[in-house]
Amino acid sequence: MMAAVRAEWGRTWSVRAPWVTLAAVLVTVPLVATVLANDVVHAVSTGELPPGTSTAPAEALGPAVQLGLVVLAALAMHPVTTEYATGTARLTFQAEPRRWLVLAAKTAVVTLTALLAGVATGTAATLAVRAYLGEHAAPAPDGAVAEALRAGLRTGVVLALAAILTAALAALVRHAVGTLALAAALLAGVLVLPDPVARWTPAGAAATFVAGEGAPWVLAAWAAVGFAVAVGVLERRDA
Amino acid sequence: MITFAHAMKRYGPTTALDDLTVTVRPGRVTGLLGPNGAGKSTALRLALGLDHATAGAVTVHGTPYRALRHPLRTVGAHVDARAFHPGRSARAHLTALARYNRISARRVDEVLGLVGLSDVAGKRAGGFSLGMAQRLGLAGALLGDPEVVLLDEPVNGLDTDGVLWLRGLLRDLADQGRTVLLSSHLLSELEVTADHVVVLGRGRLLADVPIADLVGRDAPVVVRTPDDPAPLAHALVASGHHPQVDGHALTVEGVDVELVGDLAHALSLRLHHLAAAPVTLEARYLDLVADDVQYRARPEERIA
Repeated sequence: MMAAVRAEWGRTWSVRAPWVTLAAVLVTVPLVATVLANDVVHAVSTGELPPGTSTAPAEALGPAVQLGLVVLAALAMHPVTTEYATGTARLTFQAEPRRWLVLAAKTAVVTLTALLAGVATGTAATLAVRAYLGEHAAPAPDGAVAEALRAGLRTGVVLALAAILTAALAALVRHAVGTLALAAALLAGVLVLPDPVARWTPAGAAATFVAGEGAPWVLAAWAAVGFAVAVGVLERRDA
Repeated sequence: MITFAHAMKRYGPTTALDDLTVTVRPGRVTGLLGPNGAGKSTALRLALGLDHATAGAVTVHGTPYRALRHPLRTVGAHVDARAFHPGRSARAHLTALARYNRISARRVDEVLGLVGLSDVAGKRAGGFSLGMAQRLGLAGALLGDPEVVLLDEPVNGLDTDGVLWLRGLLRDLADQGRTVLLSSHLLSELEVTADHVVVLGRGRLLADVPIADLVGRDAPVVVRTPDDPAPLAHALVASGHHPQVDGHALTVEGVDVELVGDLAHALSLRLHHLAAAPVTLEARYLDLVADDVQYRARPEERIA
């Protein structure tokens, strides 16, 4: 397994696209969260919201992470879809015929990246939003830094699980555009569904968890089932 | 050694490989020959564990490919000309494959040198010419110093130097006792490279013979004369041969050039051309494939 992860780690970062998408993830979440915080401050200044308005930074973080998930999907699918696009997949399966191991290694690379990127970007976004909201920020009982780190950790977990699900989708769909469309629908689009349904979707489960409620079991189940199905199809399919 | 045992592959309603039983032996260069759709690529994909056989089995040294540990150390293959990411360097491309099979970084540089890509090892492979792309593919095939080498159309895009170099390399590999299998549509190339040929047509085995058996046997003698070739034809018929006359040209099989020349002289025919026309692999191969097509057509005629 270590040999496979080493191979995929080096290979992933030896082209440009993952760096660009990683940068996009790191920028998108704090930027969107800050823009949303600005909306609150602006609404208060125009009298749309009462002067005593108090907003939790997590409320701005939620939609920002949702958008970040779509950008992350582009990063998480890349190691898989690019192999099918260039025909390298066959070479890789020649080097490692245990295809589950290949997908596991690729998934490990993007999951670790997503976790670290999520922690960094979620923490930074929360700190930025609190600073921007100023007096309109809801009080943080155990301090701004602890609040930010907690939000960062939740963001990291959500991004990591979404990365697993996206890598699995990529192995199933193989084409970049199809994978991205499907991932965007599952990780954000399905939020338009009525809440009792939406909370069982990856997007709804991610939103709930980032908002600070409960454990990420629903999203974890999607990731686990997605990975298992992808491995099953990958092993049986002609490469 | 690669062993196909009743290997069969269907893609939907199409039978790409039909009950192929053949052994590709070590110590010689084996050519895999056949028209488009003959099943060459399918055979290679089955051997590499990329596609699953519908029935039968393909093994490498008695082991199915997918059961090999660190398979690149046993089998090196180059089947897709441009199977690399255009934005990745040649070295990074090979390093990833090497790491999967715990092959050292030193060996990566070694094979890059072997195929003559050392100078561009750090450059993005997307800028490579077809010949350079082939060399990168060959480097990948040689990475694990494998006992078995499988190449699909390896001379495509190589310049003359490259072709000569590859011929020498394949010869060396075979002389070292390795198994070398290459497919090619360039029959003339196989004629000078391969010791043995496996001919496929419509997924079936048509021939599994030494290349010498396909080439140069029964070379027909061709004669051109400004005079009427009829007397020569009569003389040949009289001695039990079956000449074919086409205008001022005469072709006859199964005789020596000397005999035909002497007969012509005795008949006072002027000869402008007298030679044994070597049977090209191409001609033999077309015969084989034509037979196959006829064989396939017969049942349908019966139905009609």
